[in-house]
Amino acid sequence: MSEVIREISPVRQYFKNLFDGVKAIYNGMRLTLKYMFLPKVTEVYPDVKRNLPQRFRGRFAFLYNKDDGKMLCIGCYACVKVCPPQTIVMETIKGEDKKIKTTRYEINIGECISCANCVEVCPVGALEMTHEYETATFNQMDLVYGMDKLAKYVEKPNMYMPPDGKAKK
Amino acid sequence: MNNVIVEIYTNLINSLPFEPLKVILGTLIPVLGIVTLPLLTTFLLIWWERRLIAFVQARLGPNRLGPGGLFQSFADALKVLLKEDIVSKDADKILFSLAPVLVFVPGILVYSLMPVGHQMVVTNVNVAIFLFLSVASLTTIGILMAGWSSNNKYSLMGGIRAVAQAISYEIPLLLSIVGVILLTGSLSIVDIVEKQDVWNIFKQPLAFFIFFTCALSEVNRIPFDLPEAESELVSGYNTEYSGFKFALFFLAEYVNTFTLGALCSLLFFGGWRFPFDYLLGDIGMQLSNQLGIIWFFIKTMFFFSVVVWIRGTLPRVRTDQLMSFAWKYLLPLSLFNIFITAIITGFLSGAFSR
Repeated sequence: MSEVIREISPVRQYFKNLFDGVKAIYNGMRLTLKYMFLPKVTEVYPDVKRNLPQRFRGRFAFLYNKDDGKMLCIGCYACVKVCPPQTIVMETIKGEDKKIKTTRYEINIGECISCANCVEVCPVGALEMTHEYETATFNQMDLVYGMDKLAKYVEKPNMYMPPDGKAKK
Repeated sequence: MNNVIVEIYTNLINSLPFEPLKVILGTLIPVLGIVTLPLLTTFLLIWWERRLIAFVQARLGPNRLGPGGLFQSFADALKVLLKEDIVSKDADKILFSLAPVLVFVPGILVYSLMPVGHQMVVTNVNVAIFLFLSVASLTTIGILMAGWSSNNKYSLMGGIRAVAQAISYEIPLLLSIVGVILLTGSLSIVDIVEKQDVWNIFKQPLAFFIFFTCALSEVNRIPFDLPEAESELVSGYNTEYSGFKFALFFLAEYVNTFTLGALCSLLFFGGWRFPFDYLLGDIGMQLSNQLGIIWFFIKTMFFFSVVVWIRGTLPRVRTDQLMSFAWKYLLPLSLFNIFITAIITGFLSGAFSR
């Protein structure tokens, strides 16, 4: 089978070009006009904030009991050992009643990589990753959070709950 | 039937005690108006363009500063003016400084010929449309001057492109207006508007599309922005400019685009006249005469929005496409339009009857 080549006369080609051009511009303009009235994809960030997932890893918090105001920490140094950037600073003393008491707990949130290893390893659930993420400061030293700034008062310890609903051992 | 605003202004000037004061203020106030109003509208236009182009792209655009981000352009202007005014070492210093002025001044100058309302025109020249276009085309000399004096390959290329484009597109631009002039029988813009009981767009649709396309090319807007093609020529003739000189180029572009919209509304959409005001009788005439500046501004902003809408849609044409489009399509079509218009107006005026 031989291919039949249809020759278009130059005059027809001229008007075909003109018509095609007008049609293409019309189609494009119609599409952009439609987009002009579609909802916008921009998130107006400081005004409207996104809903965070439940396990979002924001700033770190050091938990206290809401009822009696006592810290949950037992001073086992597990978090200090597991911290990859080694940014947790912890000091403990042995109190009168032979119980270990944490006197200093500092974390530089500029160094923290938000891996949540400390939260996972804590045997009593005394640490938590909060949903707070706007932590920029004008001074570098303000990034070092002490016990007062990390404090958060909660009703029950932050124990890791696997998907089947059983608490960790 | 006089325009109230014009009447108040004239009475105010005439009530001044001294004769020299009348002359000085009567000259200074229109001049100040011509210089400041385009600059103020430019701030509005820049904001509006950025908002609209964002809407086309499903974004929001500048919306933080002032109501709806309206003051964003003032902040940007302040930022540009604080920049260092760099003149490159091998540049032609005199031409380099003169070029932005030469681009900006014609853009401002044509505002003195533009009637913005009934009786609201600074100089009613009887060859206004001719003068308008000849002054507006002076911009190209400034652009070539900027390209040449920058001593930069890309800038020179942009300048040369601007000239080539202007030569090609000036001809269909003028020929498309000839149709309107044939219908009106006058070169004065005021006359053209006053004779448009039925808007010219209904009589000269082809001329309008040719005019709009050529005018887009004249003001170097997308899709005809070859002289300042960012992706090819690193913004062409204004590559080497910074600070206040760049601001002048930028302002000139927006002033010219506003002029484009104004010419479209004056020549084809009845200028300051309310739509179909002759059907409404006396109320229609009052609407046109007293509130003319509002209708004029709305129409002009509409055409500016169309320019932005085109910017959001069409890609830049190639140089050979640009040339073949002008010479092969626009020029024959505009000649055809003149031919048809001349025959019809001839028949209507009885030139062919014995």
